[in-house]
Amino acid sequence: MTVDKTLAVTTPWHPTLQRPFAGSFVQATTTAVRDLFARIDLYNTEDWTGPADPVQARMVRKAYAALTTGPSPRIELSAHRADEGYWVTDIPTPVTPRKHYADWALSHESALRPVLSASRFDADVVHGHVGIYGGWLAHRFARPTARVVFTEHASFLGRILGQPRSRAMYAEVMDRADAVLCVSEKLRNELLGAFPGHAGKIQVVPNAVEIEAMPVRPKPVTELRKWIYIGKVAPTKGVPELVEAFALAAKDEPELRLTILGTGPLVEPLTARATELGLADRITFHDSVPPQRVFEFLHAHDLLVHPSKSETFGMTVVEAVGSGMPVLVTRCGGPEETLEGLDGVAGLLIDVSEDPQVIVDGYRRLAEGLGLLDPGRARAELVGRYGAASVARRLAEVYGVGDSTTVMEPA
Amino acid sequence: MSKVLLVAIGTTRSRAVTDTADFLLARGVDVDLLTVEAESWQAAGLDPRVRLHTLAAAEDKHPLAVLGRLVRRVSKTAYTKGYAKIYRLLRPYVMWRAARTTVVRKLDWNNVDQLVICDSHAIPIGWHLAKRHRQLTVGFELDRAPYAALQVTADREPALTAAAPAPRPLSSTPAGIDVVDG
Repeated sequence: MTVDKTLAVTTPWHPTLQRPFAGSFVQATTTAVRDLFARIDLYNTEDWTGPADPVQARMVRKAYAALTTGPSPRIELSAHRADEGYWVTDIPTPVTPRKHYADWALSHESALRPVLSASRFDADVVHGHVGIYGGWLAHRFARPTARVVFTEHASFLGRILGQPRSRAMYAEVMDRADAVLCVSEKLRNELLGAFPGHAGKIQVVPNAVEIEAMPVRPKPVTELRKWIYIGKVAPTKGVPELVEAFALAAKDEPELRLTILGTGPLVEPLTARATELGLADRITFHDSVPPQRVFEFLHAHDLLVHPSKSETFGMTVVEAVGSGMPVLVTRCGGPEETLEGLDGVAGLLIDVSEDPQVIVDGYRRLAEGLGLLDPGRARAELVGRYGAASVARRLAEVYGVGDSTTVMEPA
Repeated sequence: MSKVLLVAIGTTRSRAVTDTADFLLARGVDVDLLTVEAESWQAAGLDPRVRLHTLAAAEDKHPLAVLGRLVRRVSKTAYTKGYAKIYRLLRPYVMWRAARTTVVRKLDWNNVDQLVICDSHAIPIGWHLAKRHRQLTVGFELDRAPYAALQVTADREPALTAAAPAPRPLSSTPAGIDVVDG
């Protein structure tokens, strides 16, 4: 395979010193396709939230421009080679805290423009992440002959399309894009509803997930005593229902334990609730941990409970299945797709409900049928769907580069 | 002795600030931080060896701030509906004046290697400082290359990459918890 083309990736999320876990899915997907191109440049326009006051915000923008533009700018934002084998330019992007997606997109455009030579991505393929951010920048800065692709990940797509200015900008991006990728069917349906005229270019291509690299638990699960929830401790994630469900199940089973791993607005109220329920010694709240430590927690527990109300993908569920752990997951959008055909194999899907009894019933059914699960098959299925080699093959077709059958399997 | 000056008006990007400080201190490089208030940095886990230059006291002494307190004493409504709105616009200027009376005068600028602008609110002051000290290397993050070869003397080595183990409890979200779903 001759590798002579170049790729530019533009994203608002990629790991930085401040946010070391941000955009790990962009990192994994970019890494997966590195062998398809002679060179990959990734431009990470990171939000730096500043003053809300328009006059102060203008001062920030003027000072930023004075530092970064002109014949000999005081601060040059240059590329460094990442360990993953591609080039990264981190671009701090001053934004105001006002939630106007159009303004944010234009701030990203202003910050990126001086970084690019001749205000263009010098690449054959430009891949933007998130339509209103990376997609907009791809549209604005791609060469006329470049192939433009963008991936929509945003769980807040509805809000973006609900603002007239950002919707109009999004429509421009849709017009320019050669291919539009959605990480889930749910997002694809949202885009199809908003832009039915572009149905032919919208398809589902998930982000690459390095499932092959996920450590499998040393011993298979034989009982479901230690539950874990990993995620934001917020109402939309169904954590209050989980605590109540645990209390119901724990009445009859004194050996049950629950760990809630994550931060969020409900940590304090739910800690108080656990005490009120007399379960302070059986429900443990733990601060978030970096990605590499997540598997320590998964391996130390028996069951991942993911009671979210809505999810476009549900990475935690994939990580748990990848590690060989049973999962009890609500049908909240993404998980129905990620676990398609794996209900009763990887774990159990239950309905989204405000009734904690639904979780309890699901747990009891899962406990009874634990021996029927096949964690090895579940993991293998996910590797086939989301593994780096599989996603790279799909992207090679979308990018129109190389021979998609010759994408290298990871070492 | 060489040192690095960090400018961070608030703690919105505290993780980057504390990690940068840890990296430098571990290599025996002095770190100064220009900020508004000291208290929040302790909660953010900033190493106590970082020398803080706070602007809050100098801001309070500025004639415009003194005037504000007088207005407030006379009429809270006049303060809220009139003075506060105008002062919000003038505050960056006042902060720069405060910086001039503190860090600009007191710091031995010959020993400062780099000026790192760490948050959005710090950009105007960073720009003023960069204009005054044209020899300074200025950036939005530390240029680590000059310090890479220095011997690490402290045990509080920060995470250099996202993949490195973290030395202390983290407040960020773990894998799978998304601003967006991936």
